[in-house]
Amino acid sequence: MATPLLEARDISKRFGRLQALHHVSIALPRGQTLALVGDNGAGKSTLIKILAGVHQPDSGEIWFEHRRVHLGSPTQARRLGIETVYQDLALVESMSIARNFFLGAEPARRVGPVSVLDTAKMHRTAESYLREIGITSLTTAEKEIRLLSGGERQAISIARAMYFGAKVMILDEPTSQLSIKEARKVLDYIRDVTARGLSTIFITHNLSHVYPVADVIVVLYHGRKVGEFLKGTADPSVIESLIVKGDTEPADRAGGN
Amino acid sequence: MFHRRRELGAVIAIAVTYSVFTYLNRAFLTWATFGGILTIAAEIGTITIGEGVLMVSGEFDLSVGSNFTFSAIVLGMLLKAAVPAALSVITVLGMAGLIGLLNGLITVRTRIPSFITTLGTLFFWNGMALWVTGGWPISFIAPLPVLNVLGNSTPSPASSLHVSAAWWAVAAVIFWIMLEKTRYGNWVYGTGGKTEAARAIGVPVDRVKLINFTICGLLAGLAGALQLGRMMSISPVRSGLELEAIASAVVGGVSLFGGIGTVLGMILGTIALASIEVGLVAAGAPSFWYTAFVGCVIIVIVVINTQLDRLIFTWRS
Repeated sequence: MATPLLEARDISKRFGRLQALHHVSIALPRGQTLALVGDNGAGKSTLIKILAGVHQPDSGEIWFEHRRVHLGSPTQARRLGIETVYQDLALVESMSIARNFFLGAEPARRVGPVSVLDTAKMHRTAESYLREIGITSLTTAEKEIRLLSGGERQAISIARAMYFGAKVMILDEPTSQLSIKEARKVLDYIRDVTARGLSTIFITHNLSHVYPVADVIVVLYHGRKVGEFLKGTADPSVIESLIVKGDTEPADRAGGN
Repeated sequence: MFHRRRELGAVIAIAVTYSVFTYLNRAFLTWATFGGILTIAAEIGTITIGEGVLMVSGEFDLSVGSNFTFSAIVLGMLLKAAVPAALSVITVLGMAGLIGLLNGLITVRTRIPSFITTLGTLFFWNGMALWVTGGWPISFIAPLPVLNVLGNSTPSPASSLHVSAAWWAVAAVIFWIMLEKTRYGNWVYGTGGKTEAARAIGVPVDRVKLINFTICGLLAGLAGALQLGRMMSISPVRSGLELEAIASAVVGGVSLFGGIGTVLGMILGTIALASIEVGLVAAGAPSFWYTAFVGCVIIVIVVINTQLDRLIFTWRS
């Protein structure tokens, strides 16, 4: 395996009496996709929120590009190039694609004494990135987000992260509210951006979405890492058993242990 | 870009108003009447721009009517005390902006709804206006130059159009540019459209709200100065203009829930309500009809806007 771009070493995190993560380590190689799977409450969200700078771990280290880093806030993480796409928190429905794409980082040019939005550049850039990511249903960046499908929204978030120079993209349940067809498209986008050198971590409940794109699969169970598999070495029934029970003992013998 | 034209309701309202009142009275369709409409619209419309911009960022200011009155009174008192005109106007605008900022600080710091904050300051500044005047209006017999510049002068002696409309136009251009053409404008839409998303992506949403509260206060004060200039008199009695300003903004397509609205819509909404007011007077209807009528218009327009929105949503391909 190549040297990892982003690495979490021995991370523990406790919320009150709940041990959300217990000595978990993951390593994301450059240009690869890591899928984080596990049941509800397994600790997936806590782990990615630590990598996104939302939570700070109680113990453990985070390494990024061969350096130990401290991710004190989402802004700090973003500045390093770690971008998180939250499904429900990414876009403003009442605004156009172009205005969303650049929200908080709008390009401007000076006209006399005032600094004026460079709307032409906003539209041009947003449209070219949407084309590049392979989304054909949108030809204009003028459209309001509320008129778009869930898959199109994901595509815009991913394109935006690409444009702003993300090195690592973390996707929180990117396919959970999508139709089968749309989920497939979003998986294509993920494969696409990793082919361009981006590294991605994504969380999902749906194992059938994992196998086509993940290079590494990490299984969490009650805050512990119970399995790690490279592409092609994973036996679906083993992973399923790990997710549900945290071990690979067949169900009929599990009671005897 | 049909789905972005939420000003349509106001355009329909203006068209219907003009058709009906011209049918009732031919004199309605004249430049003189239109000048009168613009004169009435100028003061409410200046408040509406501030209120509308604030509404786009997801907040309300119910105290604009009280701020309007209190600012006009303070301006009148300063001028009567022979304070230099420019200094008086600047002081009053600064004070009005601070009144707005205070609303913002209370709202943002305590996280209580601005509806409540500004309901409180509505009463507070109304009380202050009554206290400093003892309940009596402030009037000027002879027009001062500054009052002429603010609102009293007209392009020709008999004209119903006052210079206050020009100040309204200046404010409209400034805030149209701000909302549509600047980075800050994009932040305003983001803040009102989905506060948490805007915050997560790095928009300083609290600062946006504070600035918009300040703008709203400042424009309410400016409107007070314009009316003092035009009428040369101001009464400390409650004006009720806050509801007219919100109504104008809503008729112009500004969303009550934030994130949606344009300065063009705010202008058209104000003109729609002002033309109804002038039309009813021209038709000889008692003035209370206006109040009742405005209520109906608001409901009808918001229903039209909502239905249009649903239609567009089902049409999307």
